[in-house]
Amino acid sequence: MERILVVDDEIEICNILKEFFSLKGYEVHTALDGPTAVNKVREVKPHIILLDIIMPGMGGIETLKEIKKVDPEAGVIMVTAVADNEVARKTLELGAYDYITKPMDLDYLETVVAVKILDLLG
Amino acid sequence: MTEDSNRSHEYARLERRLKECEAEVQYYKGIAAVSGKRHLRELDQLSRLIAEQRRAEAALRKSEEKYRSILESMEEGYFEVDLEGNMVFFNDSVCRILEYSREELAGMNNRRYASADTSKKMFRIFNEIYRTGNPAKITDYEVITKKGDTKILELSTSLMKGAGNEPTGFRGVARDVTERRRTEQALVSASKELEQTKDMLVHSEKLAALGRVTAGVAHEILNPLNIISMRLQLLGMAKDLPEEAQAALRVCRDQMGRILEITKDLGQFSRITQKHFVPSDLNKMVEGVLNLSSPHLKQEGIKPRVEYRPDLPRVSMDIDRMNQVILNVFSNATAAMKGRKTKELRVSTGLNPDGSVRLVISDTGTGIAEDDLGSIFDPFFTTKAPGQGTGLGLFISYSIVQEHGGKMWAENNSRGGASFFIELPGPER
Repeated sequence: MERILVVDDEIEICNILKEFFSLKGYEVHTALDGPTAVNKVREVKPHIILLDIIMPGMGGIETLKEIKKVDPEAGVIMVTAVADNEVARKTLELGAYDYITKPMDLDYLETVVAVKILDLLG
Repeated sequence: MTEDSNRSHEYARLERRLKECEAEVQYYKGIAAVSGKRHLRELDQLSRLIAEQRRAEAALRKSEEKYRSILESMEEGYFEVDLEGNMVFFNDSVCRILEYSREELAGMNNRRYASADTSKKMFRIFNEIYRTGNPAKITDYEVITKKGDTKILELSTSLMKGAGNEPTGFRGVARDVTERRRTEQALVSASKELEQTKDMLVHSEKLAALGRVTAGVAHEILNPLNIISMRLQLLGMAKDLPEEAQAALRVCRDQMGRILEITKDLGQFSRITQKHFVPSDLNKMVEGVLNLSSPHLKQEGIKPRVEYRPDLPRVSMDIDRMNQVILNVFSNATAAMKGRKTKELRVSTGLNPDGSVRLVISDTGTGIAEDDLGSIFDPFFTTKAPGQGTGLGLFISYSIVQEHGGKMWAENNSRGGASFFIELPGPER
């Protein structure tokens, strides 16, 4: 089963994404902050990580860097509240695979995840 | 003996005669004394009258001297004209003001030195004075000097009457207020500029304040919005969902779209994205936006009439943002013209004398209410129904134009609609 890690400081977002992707047959893990996320990556080795950019403490960008150190192969999809070209470009440079804006379209999200998983496994 | 009696007869007669003469002399002496006294008195009175006359003449001369020196020393012009407006009496200041010599000015008709409009205005005023006998004050009397310069005078005039109380002409005092008027005008325009600058400052304040508020708020709203949105999506995926539930979900989705729109607009103020200014051609930009809007305009039945001023200098612009401004004004124009018989969108570009470029977009919509003219660029100001827009479009546009160092304003036009003006500073600033 493919593994997804959802990282967001809002617990409700973690809950719904867990519900949704579980329905779609994924094994879903969650983390409410950067350090927990990095540990989970080490433990679980998820295929896909959904990473919120704006988080208190260790922000999304920092977390991205740390995750890439632990598992350079993981597919990280940044989740951003505001479409900011500068930040988006930066995250892509740092190794993020894609970024989507809130509010998220679940169908679209599912497609993006599926495509990356195929890419990773194939 | 007879000689003696004759002689004594004679003596007696002479004595009688002497006594009669003496009495007569006394009598006439008496008369003379009385009439002499009267004549003396008359002589006395005469010489006193002559002395008084001489004193009165001296006093009159002195008074004339005084008034002459007042007339000649005062800066204001004193004039007297007859009923036809010919100059009858005037002091040196009038010569100085009008720049004519005494000889030239004597008898000169006021049409010579008053401009055409002034003559008409004066005719009415002098008629009033003639009719009512009341004096009048004229605050802006325009005259043309001998050299051809225009001066503005302040006049106080009254009716002159002759011996039989019949009107003989007009008299008055004139003060040269040309400099003062000029200063007043300069003050008025400086004051207007100050108002405009103040408005711009107030707008910047609003912008900054809004930015401070929305930076956090936009983010705070988006998260709950995101959660609700995803939960609703998830709900929608349930199998065998009754039609009512599906319909309700659709409504919810639409409403969320509205919230999202506003949040996106608000988010503009907190964005720290870099502005990217490049020298650009305003005409090309307008053309670009028109092309983009062409299908929508056609759908609305709007025919755009464009007038580009050729060879506009390139001005420093953030292309994306200016596009947004033009699109916003087009969108407002389109909405304003809905349901109108004539739907004409006029777009023109021009060059101002100070080197700035100007863009005018006018429509044949319903125009802007007088009361609203001052508020249309305020945040959240909208005359549309709820749900039909965020009320931030013009606020954002004004802010963008301001960022460019330009000006944006609106006026109602002669075709019943509104015209929006955008001015951007020229290349050398």
